[in-house]
Amino acid sequence: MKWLDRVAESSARALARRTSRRHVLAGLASLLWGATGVPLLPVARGAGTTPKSDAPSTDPGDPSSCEYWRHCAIDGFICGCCGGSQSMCPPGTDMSPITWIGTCHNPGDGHDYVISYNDCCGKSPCGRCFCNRNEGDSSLFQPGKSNDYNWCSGNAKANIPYHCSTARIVGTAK
Amino acid sequence: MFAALAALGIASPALAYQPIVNFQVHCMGCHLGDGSGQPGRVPSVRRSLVRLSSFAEGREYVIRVPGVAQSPLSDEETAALLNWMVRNLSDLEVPAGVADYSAAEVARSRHRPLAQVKALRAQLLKGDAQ
Repeated sequence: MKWLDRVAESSARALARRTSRRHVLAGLASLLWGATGVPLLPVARGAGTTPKSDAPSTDPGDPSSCEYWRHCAIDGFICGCCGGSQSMCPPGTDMSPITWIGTCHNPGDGHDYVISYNDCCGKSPCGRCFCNRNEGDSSLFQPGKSNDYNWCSGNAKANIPYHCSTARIVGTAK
Repeated sequence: MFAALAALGIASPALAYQPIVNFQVHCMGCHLGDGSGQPGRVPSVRRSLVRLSSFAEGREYVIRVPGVAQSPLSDEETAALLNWMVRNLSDLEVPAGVADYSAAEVARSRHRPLAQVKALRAQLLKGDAQ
């Protein structure tokens, strides 16, 4: 086993000649620094408890268009046009956990889905891709069934401004 | 459960959605998917619903809270939804003596929705308002 000792010793010495201790520490530090940045990216990934996703087999259409099937009951700016997506808030905004929920028909697989229109809050209104389709929306006297409310007012950071709306799938409506 | 729902289905118009979907569409927007709500704004059902469901005044309260009493669901759908919530959204064991909510029970109380909810809730739960 002497050869193993020799190999280990020579490679360790070679490594010591090539690199300084500070170099190793600096590398390690930059690795750690980079790792801390990953979960801190300013993207809201979902509201508190993420509902069980019941992903459809087909998801036809353009998520940034008002005609996209998941937008059947939306009232607001589409987050896909504002730096986010149909399920994620744009950087710098928070997703309101309290939200307006409706059902939409997916023309791809012929099933109805429960859609949660969580608002993204914390920046002034996005102003792009306004969409107001209102299927199943009722008047303001039924607060839980009306999409006319600013659902950002139910956010933990109360009354912060509305930016845009997502359209997340909660499950199949059956 | 499914047998009970099927029996209800015979006695009344068929339920449009399963209770879990009615929960998602009519309750989850505020109470969240696990029923935990938002402290100070939306009460949690996770510890309170089973306790309230185990005595008459508590059951009446559950049916009279605005979200239940004024929901667009039928009495049958509302009873099935409450029974689903008791079984699926509670941190507490359901005691053996707790009966299912029935459509007739919902019909008896829902026409008198509560205007002031918080004080009665605190009184019924005797301080442990979780």
